[in-house]
Amino acid sequence: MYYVEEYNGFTIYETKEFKLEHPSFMLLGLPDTGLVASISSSYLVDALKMEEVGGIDSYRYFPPIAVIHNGESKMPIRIFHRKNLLVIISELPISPGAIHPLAFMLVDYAQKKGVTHIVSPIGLGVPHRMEVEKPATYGLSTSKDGGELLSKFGVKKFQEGFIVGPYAVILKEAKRRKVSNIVIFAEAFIDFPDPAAAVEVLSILTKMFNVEVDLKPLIEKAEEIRLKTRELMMNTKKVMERMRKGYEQQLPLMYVF
Amino acid sequence: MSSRRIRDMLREFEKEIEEAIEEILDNIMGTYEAKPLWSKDGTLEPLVSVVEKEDKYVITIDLPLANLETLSITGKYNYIELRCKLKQSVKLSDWPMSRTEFREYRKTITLPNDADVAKFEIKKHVEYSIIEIIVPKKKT
Repeated sequence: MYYVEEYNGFTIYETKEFKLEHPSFMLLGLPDTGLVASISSSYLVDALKMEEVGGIDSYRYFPPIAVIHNGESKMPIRIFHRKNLLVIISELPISPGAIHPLAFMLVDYAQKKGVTHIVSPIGLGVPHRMEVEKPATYGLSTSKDGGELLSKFGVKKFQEGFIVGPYAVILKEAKRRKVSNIVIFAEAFIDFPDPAAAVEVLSILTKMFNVEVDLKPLIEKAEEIRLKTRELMMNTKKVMERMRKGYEQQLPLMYVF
Repeated sequence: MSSRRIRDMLREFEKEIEEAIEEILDNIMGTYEAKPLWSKDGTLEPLVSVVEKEDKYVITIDLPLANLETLSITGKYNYIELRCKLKQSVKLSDWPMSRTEFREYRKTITLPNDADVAKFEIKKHVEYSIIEIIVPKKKT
């Protein structure tokens, strides 16, 4: 084990030494609406053949689960690296009690690693998703540089609304600690996995990270992905109900004036 | 206060306590459903969303890889039964938990007693492989 750090009930492990080139990005794949973050992050890791360099576990916040992949035991949250990119993917939805300590830990880790931008891909649950042929995308950033990156790629600004869940806490904590957090939203199904929304997010991410990734296989395998991620979506939905995710459908007071 | 009313109140109170304890445990251990959405008889359970409106229930069902021409829906008492074959059978070859070939979606959805399940309507969104079942509420 190359590096171990305990933080608020979580333990972060680095199993390999790696050098993060700059400017750097830390992409977060935490299960959320439409599994947009999970699908886009996993697809990127696979397409870029990123190296697994560590993981995150918790005896306090996770149930006693070991994830087995390719015949090896893995941590519930895995860390991947390639050049200037870190990707963090969780196999399990983050329960309400774990959101704050995990969010604080991730922002702290990003600061320690000197990450330039934390990137949060979020599904924006919309009831009219079936009437939408191509999900619209929006962006938000806590830093001027992040905002300029979004403008450079023509991403419309997310002006008004609520965000609920781990990405909301990460956004607030990143702003408080003056860490750049770029949030990219894509319209998505509220209750079902949405690979088409993940494609829209990835089309922005690949430009931002300056990587070439063929998205055609993701489009072709969309129905298969929806079938295989039913259980993760079911558990994510249950967690989202607990954290009152429905708030995102409400109009904030600031919008009124 | 009648004894029946007291019993009802105690049952309600017991239910609230159970829900509060479940929420505390969920916050500590995570809200993870242990039930798999597949069965060794070759059937898969689809994801379902039920939304109550003023005069109806809208059930949305995600049916990826389904052959919607084989869709069969029946409404009986207060439940809706759905069956739909897959376009082709699916096998999860690298996963030792299941050696089954999955061929069909199957789901029974229970609705409140005011749902008039005999009068359901179906809307198919073929481009998304999603269906909506609209069940009106009984007129009082």
